Amino acid sequence: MKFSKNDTISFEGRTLTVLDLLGEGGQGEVYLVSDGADRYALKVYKYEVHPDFRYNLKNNIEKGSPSPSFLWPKRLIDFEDGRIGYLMDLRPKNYVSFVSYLTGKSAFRDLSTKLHWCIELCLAFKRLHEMGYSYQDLNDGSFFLDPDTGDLLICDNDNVTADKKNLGILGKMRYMAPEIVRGDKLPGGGVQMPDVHSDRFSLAIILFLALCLGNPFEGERLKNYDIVDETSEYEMFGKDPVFVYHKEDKSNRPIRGYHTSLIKYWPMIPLYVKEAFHRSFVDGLTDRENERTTELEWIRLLSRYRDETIRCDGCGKEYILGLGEKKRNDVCPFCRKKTKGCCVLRVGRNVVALDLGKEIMATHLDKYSSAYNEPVGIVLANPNRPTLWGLRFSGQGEIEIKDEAGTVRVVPEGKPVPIVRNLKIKFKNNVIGEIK
Amino acid sequence: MFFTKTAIGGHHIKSGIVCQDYSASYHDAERTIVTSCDGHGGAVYLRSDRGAKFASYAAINVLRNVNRRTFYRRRTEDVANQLRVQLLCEWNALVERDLAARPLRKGEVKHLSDEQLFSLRMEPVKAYGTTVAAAMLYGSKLVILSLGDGGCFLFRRGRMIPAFEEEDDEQVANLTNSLCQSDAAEHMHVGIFDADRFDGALLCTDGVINPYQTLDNFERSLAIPAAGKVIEHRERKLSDFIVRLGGEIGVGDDVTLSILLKDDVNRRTYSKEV
Amino acid sequence: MEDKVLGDGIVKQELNLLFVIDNSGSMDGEKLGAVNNAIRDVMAIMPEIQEDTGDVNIKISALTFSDDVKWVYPEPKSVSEFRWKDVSADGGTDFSRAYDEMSKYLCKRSKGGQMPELGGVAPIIILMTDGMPTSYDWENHLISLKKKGWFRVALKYALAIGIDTDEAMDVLKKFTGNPETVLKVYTAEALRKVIKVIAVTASKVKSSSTHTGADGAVNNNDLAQAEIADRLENVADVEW
Repeated sequence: MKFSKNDTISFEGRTLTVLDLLGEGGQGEVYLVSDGADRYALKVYKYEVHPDFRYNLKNNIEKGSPSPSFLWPKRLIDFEDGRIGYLMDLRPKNYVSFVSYLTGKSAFRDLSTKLHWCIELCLAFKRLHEMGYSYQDLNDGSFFLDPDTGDLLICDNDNVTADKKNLGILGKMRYMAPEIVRGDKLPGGGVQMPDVHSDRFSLAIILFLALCLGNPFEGERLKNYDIVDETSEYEMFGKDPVFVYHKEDKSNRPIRGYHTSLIKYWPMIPLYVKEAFHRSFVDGLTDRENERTTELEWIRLLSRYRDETIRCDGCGKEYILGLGEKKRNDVCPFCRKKTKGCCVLRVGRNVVALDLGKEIMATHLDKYSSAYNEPVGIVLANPNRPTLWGLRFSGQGEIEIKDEAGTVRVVPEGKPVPIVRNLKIKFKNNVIGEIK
Repeated sequence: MFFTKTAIGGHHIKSGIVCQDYSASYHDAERTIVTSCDGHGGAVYLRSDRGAKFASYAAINVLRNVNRRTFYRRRTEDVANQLRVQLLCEWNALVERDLAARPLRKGEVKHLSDEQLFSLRMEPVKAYGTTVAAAMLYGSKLVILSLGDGGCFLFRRGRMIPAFEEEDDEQVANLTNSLCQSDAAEHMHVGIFDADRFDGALLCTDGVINPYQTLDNFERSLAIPAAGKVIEHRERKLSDFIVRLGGEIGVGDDVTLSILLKDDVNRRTYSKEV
Repeated sequence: MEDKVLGDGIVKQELNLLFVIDNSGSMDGEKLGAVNNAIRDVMAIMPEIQEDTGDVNIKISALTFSDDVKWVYPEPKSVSEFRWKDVSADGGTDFSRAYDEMSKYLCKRSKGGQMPELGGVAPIIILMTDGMPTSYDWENHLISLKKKGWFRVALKYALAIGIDTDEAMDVLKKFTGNPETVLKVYTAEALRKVIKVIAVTASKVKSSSTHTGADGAVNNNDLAQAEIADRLENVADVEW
């Protein structure tokens, strides 16, 4: 039975009014409902679900959301006809689907924003896995983004289960790990089902899509099929996947004229990120437990990537300085304008390009922190003399600085640290940074 | 029945430039394929004559591999997309093989500006820039693929119909889409038509169509009479005319005309003589 | 008998010459007087140029714009048909409407414009103005205009009549997309000469030296531009 407008649903002594049908899928319907005070989304399953599914959902609701990035089920509702449903928060209007980004209908404001989203994604899955869950069905349809801030929202969380437990979901072709596509037999009987390790493989695919706008296993081998169907997809993504930028096996390179975005963006990502993809998509095909880049590794690599981006004064686009490349970027790869002189802040292992608006994160100053996306400082221009730039920190207390001549000065909380070469900065807990 | 003819343009003769158009045909018991390709003019496209030749070969290689299974229970758009992929792969491979065998020489690029040299170094494939158009009659299917400003038309009951809807005033003067551009696939038209509904197809390069100013005029003055000539087996006359159109009476550009007609086409519809 | 069919129907290629004239209030007097004179001068020479070229038909159009836009003739006229009517000045300088009108003009005839269905030589567009746009969103309208293939391939000149601010010059540079084809003109006499040199030289070079297709239009523009530059060397009171 489907609900209509103004139908009411009672549960736990509350009354929900159905305001609208938001969407309909294979599994069920999603309604806009109100309890008088707040509005929610209500998902109702079409058919009676397996008791295990209900138990898992109930359990997840009780354990609570791993992080604010998940649009997590909030309340389980049992209907009289035996069906179930759950309440969750509404997706705010400022979010667009990852699919709309992939199809070019919406775009991240800039590269830093895109990297912020990627890091958020890895942070969310790190939390999820830490709580002992696996997502099992990572695909392009579950993710949303705020194009201006790079904030992330993950929907469709009803298949999340405790790792090594399965409710039958396998995933979506092109996003599944090859062992799941193939249904590899396990030594103790049964077949390989989705788990943390297959999640990691799918996460790498999502990151690759976000950064390069192409699928890592779809290249020239496409030409061998007279049609792309289950058989060819089984071969390309299950039986014999070949990474499009495999260092030795060049049989599946992207097709010039067809994989336009991939060919354009891959050369611009840093070498250390390319290596991480290569590891996941080449070595990780066979060694599923050890060679799939973990969330924490991704977070570190992507933070490093974000740290070294600068904005071209000519075309306004962002690109990397190329600190980890064989050759630095001496011109902008988009408009070929000469790379501007830009100071960097060295603190610990981090090197942050001090371009206007660049944020220093808590993790830069505290190696024990895991707040990779939490800014504690920002590069600003002096409002009276825009050519003078400074770093303004918050929550760091007094900061001691020493210039090249050896003069020591204390910068009070909230005042900017001038950006001048060879300035040494002493943060709290004796963390030393230097501007170069 | 089929006809292909390429002739050098008067402007190319005067300026000592090679003919940059290319056409080819393939015929066996099952299928007939014709092509019409126009290598770009302009300094950067210094091997566009070879580019046009490779485009013709690539199109024929791809269309020859189409079999009955290709169409069986398949969505037309999926088949079309696969043809795009295969054509690009084939052309890319031919160009890469040629570049490996004969790298760009100093003498070839000496008249280029620094900017042009840079763009060629980044994308050597540009040297081979060309349009492509190909048509195949195979069983109950008439397949046409095209990228660029070449003309692609269908014949039906004595009339000529554009095979594809035109992009919005994009390809004018020397602006054209090209096999060498990074998003070539997005601009490539593929039409899979029911051969029962049509008599055949006509492909040509812009040098053939530009002198006629309007499509009506082109249909009346060239397309229908040319089909008539092919049906009457007076291809020689048509060939001679194409040579004159390129060298003397047209706009001075190279010219290519390719025509593909079903064997059972009604003579009377296209020929005034019978 | 049947062979006279093949070879019929071949038409001369069209070369469109378009004058776009700012007739806002500030153009009143000497400036517009000079424009009127100059176009009359051009028209006196055009028949010779048309006669010298066998394979191209020159077509002339003129658009005036102030608060409103107005075509001198509703459609392009051949050299022999075109009669210049003096324009007078009034109102603001609405570049947005002028750009929109050019966008319409640069479509194929079947789509409501004035460009040929097939073939054709890249047009020549000469814009004359003395001021800043009075419409705030002219840049968006220019972006739409630049999407037109016929605009991109056109040989574009802008004549800045007594303009001295960088801001106004930037507007014109954005129009031509090439700083070398924006000319500052300071006197009526210079304006008259410049218009004549550009219109006449461009028509001549573009209609006789090369053909359309392949490498036609662009090299053609370069050639015309070089020759115009040569001839303008001797004209006083013009600044590049």
